[in-house]
Amino acid sequence: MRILGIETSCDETALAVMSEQDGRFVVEQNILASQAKTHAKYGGVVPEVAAREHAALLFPLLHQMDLAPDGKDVDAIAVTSGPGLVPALRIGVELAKTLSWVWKKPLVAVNHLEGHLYSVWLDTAPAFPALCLLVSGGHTELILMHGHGHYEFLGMTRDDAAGEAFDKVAKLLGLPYPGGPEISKAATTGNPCAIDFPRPMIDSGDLDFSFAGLKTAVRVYLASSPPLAKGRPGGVEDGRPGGVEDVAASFQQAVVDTLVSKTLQAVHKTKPRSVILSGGVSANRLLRETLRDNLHAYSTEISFHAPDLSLTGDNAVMIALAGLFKAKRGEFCDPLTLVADPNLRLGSPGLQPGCSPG
Amino acid sequence: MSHTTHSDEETKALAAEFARTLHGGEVVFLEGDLGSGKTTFVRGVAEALGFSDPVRSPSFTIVNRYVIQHPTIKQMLHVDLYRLKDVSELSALALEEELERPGTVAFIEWPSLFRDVFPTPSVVLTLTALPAGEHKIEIQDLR
Repeated sequence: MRILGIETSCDETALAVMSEQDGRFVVEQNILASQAKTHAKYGGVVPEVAAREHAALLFPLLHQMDLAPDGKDVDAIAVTSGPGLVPALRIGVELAKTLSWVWKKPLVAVNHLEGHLYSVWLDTAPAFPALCLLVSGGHTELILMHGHGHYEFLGMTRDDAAGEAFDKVAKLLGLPYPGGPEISKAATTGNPCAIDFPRPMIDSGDLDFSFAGLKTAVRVYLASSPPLAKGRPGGVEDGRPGGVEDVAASFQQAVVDTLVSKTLQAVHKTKPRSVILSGGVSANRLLRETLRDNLHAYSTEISFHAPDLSLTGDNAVMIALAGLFKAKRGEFCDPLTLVADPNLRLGSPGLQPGCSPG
Repeated sequence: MSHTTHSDEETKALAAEFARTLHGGEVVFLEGDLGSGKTTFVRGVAEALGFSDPVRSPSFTIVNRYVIQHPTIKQMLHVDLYRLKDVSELSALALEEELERPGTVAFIEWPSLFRDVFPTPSVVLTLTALPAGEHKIEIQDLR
């Protein structure tokens, strides 16, 4: 089966074509607008949130894929139908519905979060039940996958997402956007124990997260200390924590400790056979390594999976992958009635409006 | 009027009191730095109006919409313009459409770059984080 994936739920305009050949998944095409050569050609800019950027970019990108005009080289179309920004989602959803109708090819609606979870399936097959920690700019969730398409929400952030905390703390430290990579870079020469930032809700007993308080703790720390110097790596020599690097390292450590601790609490509660780390923040090396090592120390029986670094951020490969699994189960949507849903929940198959199993 | 709150609970209690003055159709601007309590205040209003799902930061989604069961208020829009850089990005969000719906109360964080685009605010809230975890909340009522 060959499937076209479409993702426009937020900032990224992305298209991909994937196929399954002899039980292996092959990425035949993978285009992100922010990397596309068409940008210069069409005078576009990297889309921030503007839906019309998606609209302006999608058709040139589709053209660049050079698919047969009658759609004969794809068997199905998968699109992110939510959650996300309504006007942005609509562009992808309407394109997918139109192609599905014109080409007479089945349409699959994919939940954006489901896409992130499936990003690891490109080159591995986690055993069920699989516990997933999904961390990105917009999400921090613990989800238990009982099987393909069967999800149970265990916990989520009550305020800010982890990636959002990275972005905002980067801003407080005067580092550029996006903050995740910048903080990690600064942290490499900092002392993670320099400042004892709180590990929010680590002992709350449930599996929810909260990162707004940690952001505030960084702000309060910065307001109460002398202006930070850059380049005072591990600045403990004069007895007080030093520069931006120490704050970045201490903050990152607090986020990682919180995420890893909650994930291990969830492992203990739910006894999964595998653990999946995905989403934009899963590119963070300290998080990857700490979670992997702690999981291994907890039990060598539980496998650990994280996506290829190229698939941590929003992309259409993950949507096509999740779409392939849904298509194989026959979970198709009516191209006349599917609507973009900004608050789409990840639930059991068949619960989305316009979609039906089998 | 200026208030000082000493905890998130106190901020939310003040927000609940403020919520009783709303009838639908208000546009509320929230000014204040990162961590000054803007989202906590909006959470307090939403909870006071009976919204039971978690109110999360809209920094990433730009617009959160909360459906409200109330005699005159039908929905709350929770808008965060922090990530937007210019007016063209704002127009693409089709916010006007949502703002015009009857029974809408809009809370807009980081409005300063876009003041001309929105209707004149009914209320301007200015939040400041003070040392020791206190927050100063100034309510400027223009109604």
